[in-house]
Amino acid sequence: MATALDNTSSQVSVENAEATSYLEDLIGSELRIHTSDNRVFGGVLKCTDKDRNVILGVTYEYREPSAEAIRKAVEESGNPTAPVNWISRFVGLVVVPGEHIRKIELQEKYYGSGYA
Amino acid sequence: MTAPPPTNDTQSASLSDGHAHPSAPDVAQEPARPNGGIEAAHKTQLPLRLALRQQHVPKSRTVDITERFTKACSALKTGQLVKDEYFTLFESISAIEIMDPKMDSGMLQPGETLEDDYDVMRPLLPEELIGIIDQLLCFEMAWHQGYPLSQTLFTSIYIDRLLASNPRTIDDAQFTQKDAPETETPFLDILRAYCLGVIKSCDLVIAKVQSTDYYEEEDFVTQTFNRSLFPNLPVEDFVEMLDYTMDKVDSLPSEVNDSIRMAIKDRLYFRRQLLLALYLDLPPSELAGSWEPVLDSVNGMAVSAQLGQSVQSAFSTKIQRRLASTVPPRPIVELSFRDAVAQLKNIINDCSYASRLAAIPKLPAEYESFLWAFAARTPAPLCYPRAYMARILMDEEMQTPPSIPFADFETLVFPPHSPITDPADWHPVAEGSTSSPLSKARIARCLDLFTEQAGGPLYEYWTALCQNKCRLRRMLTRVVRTWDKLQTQAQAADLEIESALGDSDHREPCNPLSLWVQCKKTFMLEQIVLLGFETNIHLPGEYALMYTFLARIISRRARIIQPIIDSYGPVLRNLEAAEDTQKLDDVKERLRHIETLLHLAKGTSALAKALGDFYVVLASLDLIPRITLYEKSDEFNENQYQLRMRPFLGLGAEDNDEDIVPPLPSFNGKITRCLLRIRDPDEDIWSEIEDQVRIARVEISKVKAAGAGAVWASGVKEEWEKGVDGLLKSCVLLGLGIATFKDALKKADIEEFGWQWLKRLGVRVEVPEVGSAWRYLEGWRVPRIVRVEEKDGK
Repeated sequence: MATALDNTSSQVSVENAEATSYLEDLIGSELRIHTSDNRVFGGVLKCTDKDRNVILGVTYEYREPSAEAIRKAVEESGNPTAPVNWISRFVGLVVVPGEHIRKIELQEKYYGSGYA
Repeated sequence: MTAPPPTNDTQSASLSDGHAHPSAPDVAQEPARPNGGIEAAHKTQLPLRLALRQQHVPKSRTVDITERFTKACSALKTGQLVKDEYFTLFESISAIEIMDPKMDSGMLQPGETLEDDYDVMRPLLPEELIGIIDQLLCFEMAWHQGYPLSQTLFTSIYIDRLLASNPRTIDDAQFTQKDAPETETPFLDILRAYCLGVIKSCDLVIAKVQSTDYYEEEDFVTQTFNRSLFPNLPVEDFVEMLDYTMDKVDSLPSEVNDSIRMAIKDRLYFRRQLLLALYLDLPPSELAGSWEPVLDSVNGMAVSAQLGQSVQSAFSTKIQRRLASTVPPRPIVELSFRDAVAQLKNIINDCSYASRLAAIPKLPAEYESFLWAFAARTPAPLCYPRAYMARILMDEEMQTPPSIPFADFETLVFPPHSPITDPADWHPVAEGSTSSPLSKARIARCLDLFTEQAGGPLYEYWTALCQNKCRLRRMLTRVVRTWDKLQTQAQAADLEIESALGDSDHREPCNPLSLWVQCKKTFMLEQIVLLGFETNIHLPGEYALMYTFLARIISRRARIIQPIIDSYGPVLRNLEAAEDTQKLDDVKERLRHIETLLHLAKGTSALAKALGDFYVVLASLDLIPRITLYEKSDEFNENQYQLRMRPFLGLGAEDNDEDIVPPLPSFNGKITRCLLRIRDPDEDIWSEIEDQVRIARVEISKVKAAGAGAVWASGVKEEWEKGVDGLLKSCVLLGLGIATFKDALKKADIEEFGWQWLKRLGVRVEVPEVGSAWRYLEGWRVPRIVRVEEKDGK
């Protein structure tokens, strides 16, 4: 019994150590967080916790152009794939509560085309 | 600066699990990730001669890590934070919480749209044009009062459209980006011109405020939310545009009636004049008169405001969602047009007042009087007029030769034509020079050095004078410390001068530079105490203490001025003997100034003393509220005393004089004495107080007779005379109060102490509040003794 418990707890601590190390590595990298209201926040990961609350620094808020704006752009250009800019603004330091996070993306930087 | 807009592509989503399976083929696509954190497996796969094929410009791609991230988070312990080691919880407090309607300015309520559906290209009625213009003025004034642009002018959809595309030129700034068909209503063009004028005005105001060396964001928000307000375009372009637009008003269709035409023209003209007045680069001497045309045009606008028709939908808080902002959304600030006009007039009057500085006699002492008068203006000048004042003050044109500190101490402590400060005497071989060339050079060098050292403290002092009253008081407490340090340097300079003079027969005041520093310093201390009364920092229970302290500081200044006056005696005798009438007149004139300063110091010190003593009497009889600051023993608590005296503690240690802060005065003895003797109206305590009031009246009357010019306040004669009259009235009121009180004592049939006793006295004490007609001067609170009818007493 005791061994089983020890196993579970050691398993938990191993999992925790792995998770911590993974998340610690992500600190300082650029994330894009999609929220439940279809906005995207791009910023640098500062802090996170068990509830997946995320604090981003130097954050920009991006918002999809409205359907109206897309329709106008298409109409004006006559091109059904006309580019429409996302609406962006600087918002600084933000907390995104875990419950509102829909998707997390990592902005990776790499050099060259790889060695493959 | 802006990150590239995100793409929705999920092409590399499969990579997200890559780390977990080092052998998976797509791991190869995750080469040298600079952030590290990749398992050792990656590193071992790095080719040795990577540089050959590597491009050194980083590419970026987006990887979906939702699942991995979520899983990792859930494995964390409750309360465990994974964070940047330099990121503090303190810092996190300032973070905006997304999706919290109170904090997240970008959050949309269900069904809410980001954009307003207000059509900026819709034809405007002339009445609406006037309404919008007037509303813009309200917002502009609210901004001047200290609200950010995001809550005021930037809520205008018209202004937002003009600035949204980050225009560089006037032509770039259009309500709509498309080549819109020519509109039939010319009112939109007029509105556009006016809006551009408003934007440029803001730019000029911000530039002026930021050009001063000291301003506080709590008074005025210079933040433009990343929007550029045409800082590089000359004002002339905007003025020209407004002129052109005014011409167009004449060619408006005939159905627009004349009063409306006039109203529109008035507004455009006002904006034009305002732009000219706000213009930055005029020398102070040319500023006079630049504000009168603005004031004239405001009056016209105020009359025609009722023609306007407000268009509330042309303003929206939603614009805040698109402004670069780290603060939660805030409501639009409401300011009525009447208040806005009043505010505008205050700004104009304050600026116009400040521009008078250029016309007053060029003497630092005159400048200082002017600055004090400006600081005392009510309502208190807003941030812009203060910045305007500071800019004029610091202009090169306002320099007093040879330099401001030099001119200041030269006037205050040295008699005119003193061989020490007379430039004619500086030349080593000047004719008639009485001391050896060598010692002259030493003195000149020493004065030069000291002038340089005094520049900073004097500049700080004047900068403080351009702030509002509360900040002025706080800043003065710091400036005084700088002056305390300057004292040491002054003493060194004095020693040097004395040794250079050797045994020559110039009987200058001993230690002239120290005297100057002390004189300035004690004046500042007086003002700190008086500002404490003005800003209601001192509570009635402390009045006795603070006025007694004030009397102590002022009498100290009188003692500093005395040796300056004494030093004039030999100078006068020498000149009389030499029959040099020209110089004699100069010296006599200057002596009159210094004597007036002494009278003022003696008078105010006596008044403060009398007030302090009278308050002790009143406090001892419980006639003014004893507040918590007094402990049960009626004594001021030592700790509280230290706290109240903190600005003054430790000052003046180098003065070879006693410390400025006396040990905690014990009023106990005095109060007991009062209680025992006060019943006898012929008692000493009364004659002491009455003597002080009399001295105050006599001395201040002498000051009044000498006039504003005698204390270097000729630039603010009117205000100065009002101040001296206020002092005299305060003396009269105090004398009257004492008489009433004594009379009541005489009449009262007093047999024992205590409340019974007080009731039978039949008087009440009123300490005039702010704005009371009995408060002749803000800093001098003279208690009023009011007789209470018998029925009121019960």
